[in-house]
Amino acid sequence: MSELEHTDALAAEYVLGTLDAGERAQARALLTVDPGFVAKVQFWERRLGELHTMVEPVEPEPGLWLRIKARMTEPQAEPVSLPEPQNLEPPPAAVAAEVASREAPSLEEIEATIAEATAALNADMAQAAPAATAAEAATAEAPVAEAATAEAPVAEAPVAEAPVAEAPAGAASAGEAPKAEAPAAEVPSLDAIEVTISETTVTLSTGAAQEPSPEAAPPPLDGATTAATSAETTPAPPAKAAPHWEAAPGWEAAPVAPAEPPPAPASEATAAEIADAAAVPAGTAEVHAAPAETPHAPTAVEPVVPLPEPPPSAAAPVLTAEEKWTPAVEPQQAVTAVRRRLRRWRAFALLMTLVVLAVAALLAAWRFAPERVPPMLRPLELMRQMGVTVPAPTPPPRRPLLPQTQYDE
Amino acid sequence: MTTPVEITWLLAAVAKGDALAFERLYGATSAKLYGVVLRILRRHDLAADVMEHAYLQIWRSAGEFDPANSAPLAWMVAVARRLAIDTARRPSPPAADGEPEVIDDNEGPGAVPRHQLTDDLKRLLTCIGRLAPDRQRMLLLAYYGAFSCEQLAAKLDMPVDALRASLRRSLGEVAQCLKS
Repeated sequence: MSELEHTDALAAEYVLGTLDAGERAQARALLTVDPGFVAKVQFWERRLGELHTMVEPVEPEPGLWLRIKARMTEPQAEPVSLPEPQNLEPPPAAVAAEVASREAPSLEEIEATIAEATAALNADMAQAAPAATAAEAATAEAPVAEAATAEAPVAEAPVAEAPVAEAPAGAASAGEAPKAEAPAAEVPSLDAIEVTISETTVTLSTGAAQEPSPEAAPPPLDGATTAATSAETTPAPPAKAAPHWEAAPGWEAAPVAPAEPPPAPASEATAAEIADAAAVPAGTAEVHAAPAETPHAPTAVEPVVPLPEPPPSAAAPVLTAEEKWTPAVEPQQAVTAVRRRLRRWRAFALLMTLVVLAVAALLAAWRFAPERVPPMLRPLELMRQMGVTVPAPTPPPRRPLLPQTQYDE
Repeated sequence: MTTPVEITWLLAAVAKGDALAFERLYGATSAKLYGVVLRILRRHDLAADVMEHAYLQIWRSAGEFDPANSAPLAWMVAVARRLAIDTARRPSPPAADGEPEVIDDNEGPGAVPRHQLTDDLKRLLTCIGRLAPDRQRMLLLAYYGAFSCEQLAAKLDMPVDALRASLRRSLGEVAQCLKS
Protein backbone atom coordinates (compact mmCIF):
# COMPACT_ATOMS: atom_id res chain seq x y z
CA MET A 1 0.00 0.00 0.00
CA SER A 2 2.10 2.93 1.12
CA GLU A 3 5.64 1.90 0.36
CA LEU A 4 8.35 4.41 1.03
CA GLU A 5 10.75 5.22 -1.69
CA HIS A 6 14.30 4.10 -0.88
CA THR A 7 15.91 7.35 0.24
CA ASP A 8 12.75 8.28 2.07
CA ALA A 9 12.90 4.99 3.93
CA LEU A 10 16.57 5.58 4.65
CA ALA A 11 15.77 9.03 6.02
CA ALA A 12 12.94 7.65 8.12
CA GLU A 13 15.08 4.88 9.54
CA TYR A 14 17.92 7.30 10.12
CA VAL A 15 15.66 9.45 12.24
CA LEU A 16 14.01 6.50 13.91
CA GLY A 17 17.43 5.17 14.82
CA THR A 18 17.27 1.67 13.42
CA LEU A 19 20.21 1.91 11.02
CA ASP A 20 23.41 0.16 11.98
CA ALA A 21 26.77 1.92 12.05
CA GLY A 22 27.55 1.38 8.36
CA GLU A 23 24.16 2.50 7.14
CA ARG A 24 24.28 5.54 9.38
CA ALA A 25 27.64 6.49 7.93
CA GLN A 26 26.10 6.19 4.49
CA ALA A 27 23.18 8.36 5.53
CA ARG A 28 25.52 10.94 7.03
CA ALA A 29 27.49 11.07 3.81
CA LEU A 30 24.28 11.55 1.91
CA LEU A 31 23.32 14.35 4.31
CA THR A 32 26.39 16.35 3.34
CA VAL A 33 25.81 16.14 -0.40
CA ASP A 34 22.12 15.75 -1.02
CA PRO A 35 19.86 18.63 0.02
CA GLY A 36 16.84 16.55 -0.90
CA PHE A 37 17.88 13.94 1.61
CA VAL A 38 18.44 16.63 4.22
CA ALA A 39 14.90 17.82 3.65
CA LYS A 40 13.59 14.30 4.04
CA VAL A 41 15.46 13.81 7.29
CA GLN A 42 14.13 17.11 8.63
CA PHE A 43 10.68 16.07 7.57
CA TRP A 44 10.92 12.88 9.56
CA GLU A 45 12.47 14.62 12.52
CA ARG A 46 9.47 16.89 12.55
CA ARG A 47 7.05 14.00 12.23
CA LEU A 48 8.51 11.81 14.92
CA GLY A 49 9.93 14.62 17.02
CA GLU A 50 6.83 15.01 19.13
CA LEU A 51 7.35 11.57 20.64
CA HIS A 52 9.98 13.06 22.92
CA THR A 53 7.17 14.55 24.97
CA MET A 54 6.60 11.10 26.45
CA VAL A 55 10.16 10.86 27.69
CA GLU A 56 10.50 11.83 31.27
CA PRO A 57 13.17 14.48 31.90
CA VAL A 58 16.23 13.51 33.90
CA GLU A 59 18.43 16.16 35.46
CA PRO A 60 22.02 15.81 34.30
CA GLU A 61 24.86 16.16 36.76
CA PRO A 62 25.54 19.80 37.65
CA GLY A 63 29.13 19.63 36.40
CA LEU A 64 27.98 19.13 32.85
CA TRP A 65 27.17 22.79 32.31
CA LEU A 66 30.64 23.81 33.39
CA ARG A 67 32.14 21.39 30.90
CA ILE A 68 30.03 22.81 28.12
CA LYS A 69 30.72 26.38 29.17
CA ALA A 70 34.43 25.75 29.14
CA ARG A 71 34.29 24.58 25.56
CA MET A 72 31.91 27.26 24.27
CA THR A 73 34.75 29.58 23.36
CA GLU A 74 36.60 27.05 21.27
CA PRO A 75 37.09 28.13 17.68
CA GLN A 76 33.97 27.85 15.65
CA ALA A 77 35.74 26.12 12.78
CA GLU A 78 36.40 22.98 14.72
CA PRO A 79 33.62 20.59 13.83
CA VAL A 80 31.78 19.11 16.70
CA SER A 81 33.14 15.64 17.12
CA LEU A 82 31.72 12.67 18.84
CA PRO A 83 33.39 11.18 21.84
CA GLU A 84 36.88 10.31 20.72
CA PRO A 85 37.16 6.69 19.77
CA GLN A 86 40.71 6.27 21.11
CA ASN A 87 39.54 5.61 24.63
CA LEU A 88 37.11 3.02 23.40
CA GLU A 89 37.86 -0.55 24.15
CA PRO A 90 35.90 -3.58 23.12
CA PRO A 91 33.28 -4.10 25.79
CA PRO A 92 33.57 -7.16 27.97
CA ALA A 93 30.66 -9.47 27.46
CA ALA A 94 29.67 -9.09 31.08
CA VAL A 95 29.32 -5.36 30.64
CA ALA A 96 27.22 -5.79 27.56
CA ALA A 97 24.96 -8.20 29.36
CA GLU A 98 24.72 -5.83 32.26
CA VAL A 99 23.77 -3.02 29.97
CA ALA A 100 21.20 -5.21 28.30
CA SER A 101 19.61 -6.03 31.60
CA ARG A 102 19.38 -2.37 32.35
CA GLU A 103 17.10 -1.65 29.47
CA ALA A 104 14.14 -2.74 31.46
CA PRO A 105 14.32 -0.14 34.22
CA SER A 106 15.03 2.57 31.75
CA LEU A 107 12.01 1.62 29.70
CA GLU A 108 10.04 1.48 32.84
CA GLU A 109 10.48 5.13 33.53
CA ILE A 110 8.52 5.87 30.41
CA GLU A 111 6.11 3.19 31.27
CA ALA A 112 5.39 4.75 34.61
CA THR A 113 5.03 8.13 33.00
CA ILE A 114 2.66 6.85 30.44
CA ALA A 115 0.76 4.67 32.86
CA GLU A 116 0.00 7.75 34.90
CA ALA A 117 -1.10 9.68 31.88
CA THR A 118 -3.11 6.65 30.96
CA ALA A 119 -4.76 6.54 34.34
CA ALA A 120 -6.17 9.99 33.76
CA LEU A 121 -7.42 8.95 30.37
CA ASN A 122 -8.82 5.78 31.86
CA ALA A 123 -11.00 7.71 34.20
CA ASP A 124 -12.53 9.43 31.22
CA MET A 125 -12.75 6.19 29.35
CA ALA A 126 -14.64 4.59 32.20
CA GLN A 127 -17.31 7.17 31.66
CA ALA A 128 -17.43 6.49 27.98
CA ALA A 129 -17.73 2.73 28.48
CA PRO A 130 -21.36 2.61 29.66
CA ALA A 131 -22.36 4.68 26.67
CA ALA A 132 -20.77 2.09 24.44
CA THR A 133 -22.77 -0.69 26.04
CA ALA A 134 -25.86 1.36 25.53
CA ALA A 135 -24.98 1.47 21.87
CA GLU A 136 -24.75 -2.29 21.86
CA ALA A 137 -28.21 -2.64 23.28
CA ALA A 138 -29.75 0.01 21.08
CA THR A 139 -28.45 -0.93 17.69
CA ALA A 140 -30.13 -3.86 15.96
CA GLU A 141 -28.29 -3.93 12.62
CA ALA A 142 -26.00 -6.88 12.24
CA PRO A 143 -22.64 -5.27 11.47
CA VAL A 144 -23.11 -2.53 13.96
CA ALA A 145 -24.16 -4.93 16.66
CA GLU A 146 -21.04 -6.92 16.02
CA ALA A 147 -18.85 -3.90 16.19
CA ALA A 148 -20.47 -2.87 19.42
CA THR A 149 -20.13 -6.25 21.09
CA ALA A 150 -16.54 -6.41 20.08
CA GLU A 151 -16.11 -2.95 21.41
CA ALA A 152 -17.45 -3.46 24.91
CA PRO A 153 -14.50 -5.50 26.18
CA VAL A 154 -12.11 -3.26 24.33
CA ALA A 155 -13.31 -0.21 26.11
CA GLU A 156 -12.81 -2.00 29.37
CA ALA A 157 -9.34 -3.12 28.47
CA PRO A 158 -7.53 0.13 29.32
CA VAL A 159 -9.04 0.11 32.76
CA ALA A 160 -7.79 -3.40 33.31
CA GLU A 161 -4.48 -2.34 31.88
CA ALA A 162 -3.52 -0.04 34.71
CA PRO A 163 -2.81 -2.73 37.27
CA VAL A 164 -1.01 -4.79 34.66
CA ALA A 165 1.28 -1.93 33.84
CA GLU A 166 2.07 -1.42 37.47
CA ALA A 167 2.86 -5.06 38.13
CA PRO A 168 6.21 -5.14 36.36
CA ALA A 169 7.25 -1.91 38.00
CA GLY A 170 6.79 -3.49 41.38
CA ALA A 171 8.60 -6.61 40.26
CA ALA A 172 11.56 -4.68 39.02
CA SER A 173 11.94 -2.53 42.10
CA ALA A 174 11.64 -5.56 44.35
CA GLY A 175 14.35 -7.61 42.66
CA GLU A 176 17.54 -6.18 41.21
CA ALA A 177 16.20 -6.73 37.70
CA PRO A 178 17.56 -10.15 36.92
CA LYS A 179 18.25 -10.67 33.24
CA ALA A 180 15.47 -13.16 32.81
CA GLU A 181 13.02 -10.52 33.86
CA ALA A 182 14.21 -7.85 31.56
CA PRO A 183 12.31 -8.73 28.42
CA ALA A 184 9.21 -9.49 30.39
CA ALA A 185 9.28 -6.10 32.00
CA GLU A 186 9.90 -4.38 28.72
CA VAL A 187 6.81 -5.49 26.94
CA PRO A 188 4.26 -4.01 29.30
CA SER A 189 5.99 -0.71 29.12
CA LEU A 190 5.19 -0.50 25.47
CA ASP A 191 1.77 -1.82 26.20
CA ALA A 192 1.25 1.22 28.28
CA ILE A 193 2.35 3.41 25.41
CA GLU A 194 -0.03 1.59 23.17
CA VAL A 195 -2.82 2.09 25.62
CA THR A 196 -2.07 5.76 25.59
CA ILE A 197 -2.16 5.74 21.85
CA SER A 198 -5.38 3.84 21.58
CA GLU A 199 -6.94 6.07 24.14
CA THR A 200 -5.80 9.18 22.45
CA THR A 201 -7.34 7.71 19.36
CA VAL A 202 -10.57 7.03 21.12
CA THR A 203 -10.59 10.44 22.72
CA LEU A 204 -10.09 12.05 19.38
CA SER A 205 -12.67 9.85 17.79
CA THR A 206 -15.28 10.71 20.33
CA GLY A 207 -14.54 14.31 19.62
CA ALA A 208 -14.91 13.69 15.92
CA ALA A 209 -18.07 11.69 16.43
CA GLN A 210 -19.74 14.40 18.40
CA GLU A 211 -19.79 17.10 15.83
CA PRO A 212 -21.86 15.30 13.26
CA SER A 213 -24.05 13.54 15.80
CA PRO A 214 -26.91 16.06 15.94
CA GLU A 215 -27.68 15.97 12.26
CA ALA A 216 -27.05 12.26 12.07
CA ALA A 217 -29.38 11.44 14.90
CA PRO A 218 -32.75 11.27 13.11
CA PRO A 219 -32.21 8.46 10.55
CA PRO A 220 -31.06 5.27 12.26
CA LEU A 221 -30.23 3.67 8.93
CA ASP A 222 -27.66 6.35 8.25
CA GLY A 223 -26.13 5.69 11.59
CA ALA A 224 -25.62 2.07 10.72
CA THR A 225 -24.07 3.05 7.46
CA THR A 226 -21.58 5.40 8.94
CA ALA A 227 -20.71 3.03 11.70
CA ALA A 228 -20.02 0.33 9.20
CA THR A 229 -17.97 2.66 7.08
CA SER A 230 -15.70 3.79 9.80
CA ALA A 231 -15.18 0.18 10.74
CA GLU A 232 -14.43 -0.60 7.16
CA THR A 233 -11.62 1.90 6.88
CA THR A 234 -10.30 -0.17 9.65
CA PRO A 235 -7.12 1.28 10.82
CA ALA A 236 -9.90 3.81 11.27
CA PRO A 237 -8.76 7.35 11.27
CA PRO A 238 -10.92 8.50 14.10
CA ALA A 239 -10.38 12.08 13.17
CA LYS A 240 -11.41 11.16 9.67
CA ALA A 241 -14.64 9.57 10.65
CA ALA A 242 -16.34 12.87 10.01
CA PRO A 243 -15.13 13.37 6.41
CA HIS A 244 -16.21 9.83 5.56
CA TRP A 245 -19.62 10.72 6.73
CA GLU A 246 -21.32 11.85 3.53
CA ALA A 247 -19.58 9.50 1.18
CA ALA A 248 -20.50 6.36 3.09
CA PRO A 249 -22.14 3.78 0.84
CA GLY A 250 -23.86 1.35 3.13
CA TRP A 251 -23.95 -1.71 0.89
CA GLU A 252 -20.21 -1.65 0.42
CA ALA A 253 -19.44 -1.20 4.04
CA ALA A 254 -21.72 -3.80 5.51
CA PRO A 255 -19.84 -6.97 4.55
CA VAL A 256 -16.45 -5.51 5.36
CA ALA A 257 -17.15 -4.29 8.83
CA PRO A 258 -17.20 -7.59 10.69
CA ALA A 259 -14.21 -8.83 8.72
CA GLU A 260 -11.48 -7.14 10.73
CA PRO A 261 -12.46 -6.51 14.28
CA PRO A 262 -9.29 -7.44 16.18
CA PRO A 263 -6.48 -5.31 14.79
CA ALA A 264 -7.88 -1.88 15.53
CA PRO A 265 -9.71 -1.61 18.80
CA ALA A 266 -9.79 2.12 18.45
CA SER A 267 -11.68 2.00 15.22
CA GLU A 268 -14.28 -0.25 16.69
CA ALA A 269 -14.71 2.15 19.46
CA THR A 270 -15.23 4.77 16.83
CA ALA A 271 -17.79 2.68 15.07
CA ALA A 272 -19.71 2.02 18.23
CA GLU A 273 -19.50 5.60 19.34
CA ILE A 274 -20.78 6.83 16.05
CA ALA A 275 -23.46 4.19 15.97
CA ASP A 276 -24.40 5.26 19.40
CA ALA A 277 -24.57 8.88 18.52
CA ALA A 278 -26.47 8.14 15.36
CA ALA A 279 -28.94 5.40 16.29
CA VAL A 280 -29.95 6.45 19.75
CA PRO A 281 -32.72 9.05 19.69
CA ALA A 282 -31.67 12.62 20.17
CA GLY A 283 -32.27 12.79 23.91
CA THR A 284 -30.08 9.80 24.65
CA ALA A 285 -27.47 10.97 22.27
CA GLU A 286 -27.14 14.12 24.25
CA VAL A 287 -26.80 12.20 27.46
CA HIS A 288 -24.02 10.25 25.90
CA ALA A 289 -22.39 13.29 24.46
CA ALA A 290 -21.96 14.79 27.88
CA PRO A 291 -19.56 12.19 29.32
CA ALA A 292 -17.84 11.77 26.00
CA GLU A 293 -17.19 15.46 25.92
CA THR A 294 -15.31 15.36 29.18
CA PRO A 295 -12.32 13.40 27.94
CA HIS A 296 -12.14 15.48 24.84
CA ALA A 297 -12.48 18.97 26.18
CA PRO A 298 -9.38 19.27 28.34
CA THR A 299 -7.05 17.79 25.77
CA ALA A 300 -8.48 19.91 23.06
CA VAL A 301 -8.41 23.18 24.86
CA GLU A 302 -5.25 23.14 26.82
CA PRO A 303 -2.68 22.42 24.15
CA VAL A 304 -4.08 25.27 22.17
CA VAL A 305 -3.01 27.77 24.74
CA PRO A 306 0.55 28.25 23.55
CA LEU A 307 -0.44 28.08 19.92
CA PRO A 308 -2.15 31.42 19.35
CA GLU A 309 1.13 33.16 19.70
CA PRO A 310 2.59 33.27 16.22
CA PRO A 311 6.05 31.80 15.84
CA PRO A 312 8.22 34.82 16.36
CA SER A 313 10.56 35.81 13.60
CA ALA A 314 14.29 35.51 14.04
CA ALA A 315 14.92 39.18 14.75
CA ALA A 316 11.95 40.11 16.87
CA PRO A 317 12.42 37.48 19.55
CA VAL A 318 15.87 38.70 20.35
CA LEU A 319 14.67 42.17 21.00
CA THR A 320 11.80 40.96 23.06
CA ALA A 321 14.03 38.71 25.05
CA GLU A 322 16.39 41.58 25.77
CA GLU A 323 13.55 43.86 26.64
CA LYS A 324 12.39 41.25 29.03
CA TRP A 325 15.72 41.31 30.78
CA THR A 326 16.37 45.05 30.95
CA PRO A 327 13.67 45.92 33.47
CA ALA A 328 15.26 43.54 35.89
CA VAL A 329 18.52 45.47 35.61
CA GLU A 330 17.23 49.07 35.74
CA PRO A 331 13.64 49.03 36.85
CA GLN A 332 13.77 52.57 38.27
CA GLN A 333 14.62 54.11 34.93
CA ALA A 334 11.90 52.25 33.16
CA VAL A 335 9.34 53.40 35.70
CA THR A 336 10.41 57.04 35.32
CA ALA A 337 10.13 56.85 31.57
CA VAL A 338 6.69 55.38 31.77
CA ARG A 339 5.59 58.08 34.21
CA ARG A 340 6.87 60.88 32.00
CA ARG A 341 5.01 59.48 29.03
CA LEU A 342 1.88 59.18 31.11
CA ARG A 343 2.07 62.83 32.20
CA ARG A 344 2.41 63.97 28.61
CA TRP A 345 -0.65 62.04 27.62
CA ARG A 346 -2.67 63.53 30.46
CA ALA A 347 -1.80 67.09 29.44
CA PHE A 348 -2.74 66.36 25.88
CA ALA A 349 -6.06 64.91 26.92
CA LEU A 350 -6.85 67.95 29.05
CA LEU A 351 -6.05 70.30 26.19
CA MET A 352 -8.27 68.43 23.80
CA THR A 353 -11.11 68.53 26.31
CA LEU A 354 -10.84 72.32 26.57
CA VAL A 355 -10.89 72.70 22.80
CA VAL A 356 -13.95 70.54 22.51
CA LEU A 357 -15.70 72.52 25.24
CA ALA A 358 -14.90 75.83 23.56
CA VAL A 359 -16.24 74.67 20.21
CA ALA A 360 -19.34 73.33 21.88
CA ALA A 361 -19.91 76.64 23.65
CA LEU A 362 -19.54 78.56 20.39
CA LEU A 363 -21.99 76.32 18.61
CA ALA A 364 -24.45 76.67 21.43
CA ALA A 365 -24.13 80.45 21.30
CA TRP A 366 -24.76 80.52 17.56
CA ARG A 367 -27.77 78.36 17.97
CA PHE A 368 -29.45 79.88 21.01
CA ALA A 369 -28.21 83.46 21.29
CA PRO A 370 -26.80 84.54 17.95
CA GLU A 371 -27.20 88.23 18.70
CA ARG A 372 -25.04 88.06 21.82
CA VAL A 373 -22.11 86.46 20.05
CA PRO A 374 -19.30 89.02 19.63
CA PRO A 375 -19.08 90.08 15.97
CA MET A 376 -15.66 88.50 15.65
CA LEU A 377 -17.14 85.14 16.33
CA ARG A 378 -20.16 85.27 14.09
CA PRO A 379 -20.14 82.58 11.47
CA LEU A 380 -19.77 84.76 8.45
CA GLU A 381 -16.98 86.77 10.03
CA LEU A 382 -15.15 83.63 11.03
CA MET A 383 -15.44 82.20 7.55
CA ARG A 384 -14.08 85.37 6.02
CA GLN A 385 -11.16 85.35 8.42
CA MET A 386 -10.37 81.80 7.51
CA GLY A 387 -10.22 82.69 3.85
CA VAL A 388 -13.52 81.35 2.75
CA THR A 389 -14.99 83.81 0.30
CA VAL A 390 -18.53 84.42 1.10
CA PRO A 391 -20.50 85.82 -1.88
CA ALA A 392 -21.37 89.00 0.00
CA PRO A 393 -22.92 90.00 3.20
CA THR A 394 -26.02 90.26 1.09
CA PRO A 395 -29.06 90.56 3.18
CA PRO A 396 -30.98 87.39 2.99
CA PRO A 397 -33.32 87.56 0.00
CA ARG A 398 -36.62 88.74 1.02
CA ARG A 399 -39.01 85.91 0.88
CA PRO A 400 -42.28 86.50 -0.88
CA LEU A 401 -44.98 86.54 1.63
CA LEU A 402 -46.78 83.38 2.10
CA PRO A 403 -50.33 83.39 0.86
CA GLN A 404 -51.75 83.27 4.34
CA THR A 405 -49.87 86.32 5.49
CA GLN A 406 -52.13 88.75 3.61
CA TYR A 407 -54.96 87.78 5.91
CA ASP A 408 -52.87 88.35 8.92
CA GLU A 409 -53.27 92.04 8.85
CA MET B 1 8.09 25.21 32.46
CA THR B 2 9.52 27.03 29.51
CA THR B 3 7.16 27.43 26.63
CA PRO B 4 8.14 26.67 23.04
CA VAL B 5 7.95 30.37 22.27
CA GLU B 6 10.46 31.16 24.98
CA ILE B 7 12.78 28.46 23.73
CA THR B 8 12.50 29.93 20.26
CA TRP B 9 13.53 33.32 21.64
CA LEU B 10 16.43 31.80 23.45
CA LEU B 11 17.55 29.95 20.35
CA ALA B 12 17.37 33.16 18.35
CA ALA B 13 19.50 34.91 20.97
CA VAL B 14 21.93 32.01 21.03
CA ALA B 15 22.25 32.26 17.27
CA LYS B 16 23.58 35.79 17.83
CA GLY B 17 26.13 34.54 20.30
CA ASP B 18 24.35 35.45 23.51
CA ALA B 19 26.01 33.28 26.13
CA LEU B 20 23.53 34.25 28.83
CA ALA B 21 20.67 33.06 26.67
CA PHE B 22 22.53 29.85 26.08
CA GLU B 23 22.82 29.24 29.78
CA ARG B 24 19.11 29.82 30.18
CA LEU B 25 18.44 27.53 27.25
CA TYR B 26 20.54 24.86 28.87
CA GLY B 27 18.67 25.25 32.12
CA ALA B 28 15.33 24.99 30.37
CA THR B 29 16.05 22.02 28.16
CA SER B 30 18.91 19.94 29.55
CA ALA B 31 16.71 17.63 31.61
CA LYS B 32 14.57 16.73 28.63
CA LEU B 33 17.54 16.13 26.37
CA TYR B 34 19.30 14.15 29.04
CA GLY B 35 16.26 11.97 29.51
CA VAL B 36 16.15 11.22 25.80
CA VAL B 37 19.86 10.56 25.52
CA LEU B 38 19.99 8.45 28.65
CA ARG B 39 17.23 6.21 27.38
CA ILE B 40 19.22 5.50 24.28
CA LEU B 41 22.65 5.07 25.85
CA ARG B 42 21.58 3.82 29.27
CA ARG B 43 24.81 5.04 30.82
CA HIS B 44 25.41 8.32 32.54
CA ASP B 45 28.99 8.76 31.40
CA LEU B 46 28.20 8.26 27.72
CA ALA B 47 25.05 10.32 28.00
CA ALA B 48 26.97 13.20 29.55
CA ASP B 49 29.50 13.12 26.72
CA VAL B 50 26.77 13.21 24.15
CA MET B 51 25.05 16.04 25.99
CA GLU B 52 28.24 18.05 25.92
CA HIS B 53 28.60 17.62 22.19
CA ALA B 54 24.95 18.17 21.52
CA TYR B 55 24.91 21.49 23.36
CA LEU B 56 28.09 22.63 21.68
CA GLN B 57 26.51 21.82 18.37
CA ILE B 58 23.37 23.73 19.36
CA TRP B 59 25.52 26.67 20.45
CA ARG B 60 27.19 26.76 17.08
CA SER B 61 24.31 25.96 14.80
CA ALA B 62 21.37 27.59 16.54
CA GLY B 63 21.05 29.81 13.49
CA GLU B 64 20.03 26.80 11.46
CA PHE B 65 16.93 26.34 13.51
CA ASP B 66 13.89 27.44 11.57
CA PRO B 67 10.82 28.02 13.72
CA ALA B 68 8.63 27.54 10.69
CA ASN B 69 10.03 24.09 10.21
CA SER B 70 9.83 22.41 13.57
CA ALA B 71 9.19 22.88 17.24
CA PRO B 72 12.28 24.21 19.02
CA LEU B 73 12.53 21.45 21.57
CA ALA B 74 11.99 18.80 18.92
CA TRP B 75 14.83 20.30 16.93
CA MET B 76 17.16 20.18 19.92
CA VAL B 77 16.09 16.65 20.73
CA ALA B 78 16.80 15.66 17.15
CA VAL B 79 20.35 17.04 17.42
CA ALA B 80 20.95 15.14 20.64
CA ARG B 81 19.39 11.95 19.34
CA ARG B 82 21.57 11.92 16.26
CA LEU B 83 24.70 12.13 18.36
CA ALA B 84 23.38 9.62 20.87
CA ILE B 85 22.55 7.06 18.21
CA ASP B 86 25.92 7.53 16.55
CA THR B 87 27.54 6.91 19.90
CA ALA B 88 25.34 3.91 20.60
CA ARG B 89 26.48 2.34 17.33
CA ARG B 90 30.12 2.43 18.34
CA PRO B 91 31.63 -0.20 20.54
CA SER B 92 31.15 1.43 23.92
CA PRO B 93 33.95 1.59 26.46
CA PRO B 94 33.43 0.28 29.94
CA ALA B 95 32.73 2.98 32.46
CA ALA B 96 35.66 4.51 34.29
CA ASP B 97 35.37 2.42 37.40
CA GLY B 98 34.95 -0.74 35.37
CA GLU B 99 31.32 -0.98 36.18
CA PRO B 100 28.54 0.66 34.24
CA GLU B 101 26.75 3.28 36.17
CA VAL B 102 23.50 2.25 37.62
CA ILE B 103 20.49 3.98 36.32
CA ASP B 104 18.24 4.63 39.19
CA ASP B 105 14.77 3.24 38.76
CA ASN B 106 13.22 5.90 40.88
CA GLU B 107 14.31 9.03 39.18
CA GLY B 108 11.06 10.67 39.98
CA PRO B 109 8.79 9.42 37.26
CA GLY B 110 6.32 12.16 36.58
CA ALA B 111 3.19 11.95 34.57
CA VAL B 112 2.95 13.53 31.19
CA PRO B 113 0.24 16.04 31.95
CA ARG B 114 -2.50 15.87 29.45
CA HIS B 115 -2.10 19.46 28.47
CA GLN B 116 1.31 18.50 27.18
CA LEU B 117 -0.34 16.33 24.58
CA THR B 118 0.03 18.85 21.85
CA ASP B 119 -2.07 18.66 18.73
CA ASP B 120 0.90 17.40 16.76
CA LEU B 121 1.54 14.66 19.27
CA LYS B 122 -2.09 13.68 19.29
CA ARG B 123 -2.09 13.43 15.54
CA LEU B 124 1.05 11.34 15.61
CA LEU B 125 -0.30 9.05 18.30
CA THR B 126 -3.52 8.67 16.42
CA CYS B 127 -1.61 7.63 13.32
CA ILE B 128 0.58 5.22 15.26
CA GLY B 129 -2.56 3.92 16.91
CA ARG B 130 -3.82 2.84 13.53
CA LEU B 131 -1.00 0.35 13.18
CA ALA B 132 -1.40 -3.21 14.38
CA PRO B 133 -0.38 -3.51 18.05
CA ASP B 134 2.80 -5.49 17.40
CA ARG B 135 3.90 -2.94 14.84
CA GLN B 136 3.13 -0.09 17.21
CA ARG B 137 5.34 -1.73 19.78
CA MET B 138 8.08 -2.22 17.25
CA LEU B 139 8.02 1.40 16.17
CA LEU B 140 8.00 2.81 19.68
CA LEU B 141 10.72 0.49 20.85
CA ALA B 142 12.79 1.55 17.87
CA TYR B 143 12.27 5.23 18.57
CA TYR B 144 12.74 5.29 22.32
CA GLY B 145 15.56 2.81 22.51
CA ALA B 146 17.05 3.64 19.12
CA PHE B 147 17.93 -0.02 18.61
CA SER B 148 19.35 -1.09 15.31
CA CYS B 149 17.28 -3.45 13.22
CA GLU B 150 19.49 -6.36 14.28
CA GLN B 151 19.10 -5.58 17.98
CA LEU B 152 15.42 -5.09 17.55
CA ALA B 153 15.04 -8.33 15.63
CA ALA B 154 16.86 -10.21 18.36
CA LYS B 155 14.74 -8.55 20.99
CA LEU B 156 11.46 -9.25 19.26
CA ASP B 157 12.65 -12.64 18.06
CA MET B 158 11.92 -12.23 14.40
CA PRO B 159 14.00 -12.22 11.19
CA VAL B 160 15.79 -8.98 10.46
CA ASP B 161 14.46 -8.65 6.94
CA ALA B 162 10.89 -9.14 8.00
CA LEU B 163 11.34 -6.65 10.78
CA ARG B 164 12.82 -4.04 8.51
CA ALA B 165 10.11 -4.51 5.90
CA SER B 166 7.43 -4.26 8.56
CA LEU B 167 9.04 -1.19 10.06
CA ARG B 168 9.23 0.54 6.72
CA ARG B 169 5.66 -0.28 5.99
CA SER B 170 4.67 1.16 9.35
CA LEU B 171 6.63 4.33 8.66
CA GLY B 172 5.01 4.63 5.26
CA GLU B 173 1.58 4.27 6.73
CA VAL B 174 2.28 6.77 9.46
CA ALA B 175 3.63 9.20 6.91
CA GLN B 176 0.56 8.84 4.76
CA CYS B 177 -1.74 9.18 7.73
CA LEU B 178 0.02 12.35 8.86
CA LYS B 179 -0.16 13.77 5.38
CA SER B 180 -3.90 13.37 5.10
